Amino acid sequence: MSETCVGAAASDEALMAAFRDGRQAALSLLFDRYASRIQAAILRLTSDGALARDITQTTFLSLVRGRARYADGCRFRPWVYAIAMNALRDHMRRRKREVLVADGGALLEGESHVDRIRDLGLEARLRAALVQLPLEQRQAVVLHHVEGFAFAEIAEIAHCSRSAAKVRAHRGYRRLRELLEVGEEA
Amino acid sequence: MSEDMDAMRRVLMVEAARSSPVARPWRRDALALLVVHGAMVVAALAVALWVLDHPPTLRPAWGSASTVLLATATLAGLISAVSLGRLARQFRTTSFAVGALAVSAHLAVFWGPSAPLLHDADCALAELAIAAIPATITVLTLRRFAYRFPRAVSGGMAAALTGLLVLDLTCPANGLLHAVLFHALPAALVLVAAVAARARGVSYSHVP
Repeated sequence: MSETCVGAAASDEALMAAFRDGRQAALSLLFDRYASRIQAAILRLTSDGALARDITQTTFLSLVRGRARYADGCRFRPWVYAIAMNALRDHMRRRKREVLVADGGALLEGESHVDRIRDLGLEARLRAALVQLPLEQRQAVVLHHVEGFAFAEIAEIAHCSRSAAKVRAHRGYRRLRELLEVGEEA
Repeated sequence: MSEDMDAMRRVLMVEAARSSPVARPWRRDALALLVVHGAMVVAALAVALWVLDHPPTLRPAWGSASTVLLATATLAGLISAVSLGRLARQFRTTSFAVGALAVSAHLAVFWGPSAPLLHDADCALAELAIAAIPATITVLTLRRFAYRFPRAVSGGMAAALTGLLVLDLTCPANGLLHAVLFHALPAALVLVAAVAARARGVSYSHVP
């Protein structure tokens, strides 16, 4: 049994190790630190509030059920984001629908993504452009730009090489720029 | 938003209190799978030897090498299917390389002309029957954590090679065509079926 302190000052890794070893109070602290951050990240990726809530819940349920696979020395933040991204990927795989629309609704017949982007304000345009990216690129952009992960950590989260993570983010940024430029010109 | 969070927290606390972790440390998973695969090989050999009165086939020395390679690839495949991080990647590379070598060695053992006969299909049925239980248990084990295609391939390959290992030791037939049609092809079917079953199955936990 871990003798680690589970107070508010304890590191994420110490809290997770303590929870794995049976101290349930640590879970509540980890939940306080990460639930809303993960929900916000998933919301950015999907623009679907209900889905973001579901994936956040699934992430923490997975953490509870699979706590024995948390290895000492493993950094908690990339680990918990990896769980969230796995849950999201699994959900997308099942739904077989990669293209989500900014407001969660389907595009109208004859309406292109560019038409949709043109009508929105800057922040909404950025969100609308973001959801046009393939999931892998979207993930790399959000994890790098918004969540501040290094490419090595993104590689760990997305199960790819560091260079693949860099390429995904680079392509994502380029595509975003193109989408926003098209929206401005119109 | 905060009500959602409170509800989520309550669900988690109940789950944490109720459940013991379904995913065990990977070494225990690997050991459990190894026991299942090993028991299946021993049981199949016992049936071949005592029930079917089918003595082990004596092969030249490089024939034994194929048996050792098949056993090594199975072990490496099991470890890579359930282990974590860099270790999983290393074992995966090893298992795929040794697995390819093992199948090649197995086919080389049966090198020679042959005319496949209907009763040769016994070998295919044996492969499917021997691999079925290890493949099922491997798929159920893999559902405890996140779906990863390479992980599913490693697990499926280990189950498929278990059947091939028994055939390597007991099949009295000769001929490359026999080995390809009634050994390697059913083994490939087991691999594909295991990967498909894992891909379609629901993950109980998405931990890496």
